[in-house]
Amino acid sequence: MSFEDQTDETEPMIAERPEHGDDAAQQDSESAEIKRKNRHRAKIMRGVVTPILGLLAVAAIVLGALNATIWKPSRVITATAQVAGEQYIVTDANVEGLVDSHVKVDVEAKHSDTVCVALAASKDAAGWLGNDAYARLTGLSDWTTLSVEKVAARSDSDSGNNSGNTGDSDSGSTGDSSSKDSVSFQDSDMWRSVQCGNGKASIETQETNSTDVVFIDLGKATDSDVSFEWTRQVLPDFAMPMYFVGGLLAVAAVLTASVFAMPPSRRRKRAAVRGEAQPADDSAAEAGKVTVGQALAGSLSGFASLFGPKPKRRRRHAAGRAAESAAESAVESATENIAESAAADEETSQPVIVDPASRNLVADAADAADAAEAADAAQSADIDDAAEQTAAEETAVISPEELQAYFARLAQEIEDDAADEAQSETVEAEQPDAPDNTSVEPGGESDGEPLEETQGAPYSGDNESDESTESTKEEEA
Amino acid sequence: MMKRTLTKLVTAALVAGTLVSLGACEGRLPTVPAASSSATAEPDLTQEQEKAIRNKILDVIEKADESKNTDELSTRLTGPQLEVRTSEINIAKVTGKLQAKASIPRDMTQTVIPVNNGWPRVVFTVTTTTDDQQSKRLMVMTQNSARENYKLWGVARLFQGAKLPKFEIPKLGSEMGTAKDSELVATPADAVAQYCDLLNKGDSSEYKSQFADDLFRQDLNKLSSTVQQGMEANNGTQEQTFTVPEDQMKIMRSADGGDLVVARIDSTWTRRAGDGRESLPASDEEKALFGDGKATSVMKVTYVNVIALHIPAAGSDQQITAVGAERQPVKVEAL
Repeated sequence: MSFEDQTDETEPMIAERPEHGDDAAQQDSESAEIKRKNRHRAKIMRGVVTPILGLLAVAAIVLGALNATIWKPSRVITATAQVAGEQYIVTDANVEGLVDSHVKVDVEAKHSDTVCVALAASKDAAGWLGNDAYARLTGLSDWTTLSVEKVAARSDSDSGNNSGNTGDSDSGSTGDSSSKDSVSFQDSDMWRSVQCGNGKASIETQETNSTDVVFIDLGKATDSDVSFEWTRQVLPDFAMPMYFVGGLLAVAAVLTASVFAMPPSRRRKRAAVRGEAQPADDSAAEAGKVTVGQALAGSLSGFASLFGPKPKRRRRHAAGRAAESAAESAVESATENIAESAAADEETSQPVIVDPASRNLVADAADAADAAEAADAAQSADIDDAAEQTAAEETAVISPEELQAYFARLAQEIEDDAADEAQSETVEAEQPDAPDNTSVEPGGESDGEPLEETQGAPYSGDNESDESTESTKEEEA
Repeated sequence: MMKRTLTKLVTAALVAGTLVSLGACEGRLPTVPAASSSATAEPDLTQEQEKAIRNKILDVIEKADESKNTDELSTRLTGPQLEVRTSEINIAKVTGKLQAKASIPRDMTQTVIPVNNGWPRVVFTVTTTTDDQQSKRLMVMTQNSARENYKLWGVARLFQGAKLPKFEIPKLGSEMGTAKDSELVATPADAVAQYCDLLNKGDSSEYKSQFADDLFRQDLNKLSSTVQQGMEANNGTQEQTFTVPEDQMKIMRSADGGDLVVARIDSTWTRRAGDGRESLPASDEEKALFGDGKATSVMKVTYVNVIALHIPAAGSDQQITAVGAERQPVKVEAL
């Protein structure tokens, strides 16, 4: 990279940049201050902030890994409750499927009579209970305990169960357990499913309706243990957010070590320098004059300085200088064959405008031809020389051979007009053959104009030289 | 430098500490959402439950049919159907086999499930046609209270070509009706009373225009005119009296605003033989029920009738239509 050539440069940056035009001394002290601040900032950024962020990133990722393995939420949640002295136990609506729809309910009573547990609609359970006392399981007080509430027996007023048809039979009696038609808990038609056992019973279900409840009949009103076991299908994921945060922190650490450690003025300045080089490029008036490869190389050489381990002022300066000079060298090669003012103009910021349409290549060729005419004897060699002169600088688009051939042809045409009868055959025989000359048009040439260099005439003089050429031709003819 | 390192370590430790608290083990404890009294009522039974109930009922009936034993019928039968089936089995004891019309298919084509929260509850189920191509049966099952089970209350054999009104699908359920439902052509109580009047008075009833003609009345008329001819031949008389007992109807509201009412109507048929002759049982069934009784000149047969009426919504031009019926003699006595 070209910037490495500058590493042994000892002069400070300021001295290389007289073009900033301010008072040099003042510039000196100001930039020294800025430099100190920048150094300090870089130190803080790279020395303090980056390690902290890096540590945090590592910590976050480690925590994420822990959450995915050791601290993984358990798949099976078991909650129990102890209910004292009630015959009936009912869950509230939605408690059955509280953690997951897959639930197993176990009931164990202190006696050994029939214990039943059923899944029922809540209105059916309420109808069955009527006015009896019962215990309610209202929810989870923590991950291993169910909360219990007791409901006392109510008096036998119309408890609002009969919202529907009261037409044909007595409306109030829902809990008349002494009626001969009443059935046992196990035999009731109303439950979705029911399981009974001696002293203990359990029931399992895969899907729960939000209005369904678990209804337990202990037979005798005694103490009992009730446990709900849910198998969670979906576990909360705490690892993913941790990984994400860790990734973000790592990115932040990298950024503070690189971009944010740069002083903002430098970031701005580098852009300005590159901006200056651009108009010079544009003044070449050709889109691809600087190849993509050359431009990229220039930019990359600037970035490469960022990843040094310690802030090296010189290298940064050198890099800036290098970027600048890399861009400029590309520009130079492209513009040198334009008027000398443009080629030499690194310093000025005035764009050099070259308008190919205003060049008179015929006149230029005529001049070249005149030069060739002067050395009459070895005509082909002269033409070659002239062509070589005019095409001395390499252009990116038209090869020297093409130019040479073109000018040779032009010269030849003029030659024919000028010295018509005598030497036409000899000249034609020695003309180099260039069939692709037809593509090179005087008015439409988008190249630089090599002819101008030899001529040195200003653009405004085209028309005059045109006339003079024509008059010369006429004279000669 | 030591101070810087220390600062770094402390900061990292603090942040790690806060991050650890986020790594709670089980997640947030779920809370029970407030039980929303849902605007859409839930049906009282699922279709599986209805099928299970119906099969239990039919099992009991089948068992009783086969053993010709009516003792267990009351566990799953009630109301008019209890009497009808008891009578049918008693007849079968004598005649040796059950009447053809007594068969109830196991499969169903439609079920109407209530959404009402209270009791009693009613379920209508329409079976398929029988194996010997008899018409479908409309089964009416009721649950009298929460502590009781569903029992078969009535069965009406649907008339051929009779159209039932549309009901909501069982997943949504239907509303039960009351005897005083308004917004109909007539309240259910009135409709049944009017029909009874029609049965009593025949063509001279004032309500004749309100009811479409139906097979039940046609059959009845045919029967009584046949018997009438026989009676007149020996100077006898006959009369049928229909009465509507109190609170013996089950009503479901259909989806098109009408009601389907299944009501019990009791009737007695009194035949007096003239010229000192005996009045004898008029059919095999009556004969079986009468058994060894001593015939007199007066014979009174008590029937249990079950009628299914479709009452259209008010404002429609339709008449009240009987869509199904059942008629069974339950008692034969010589007075």
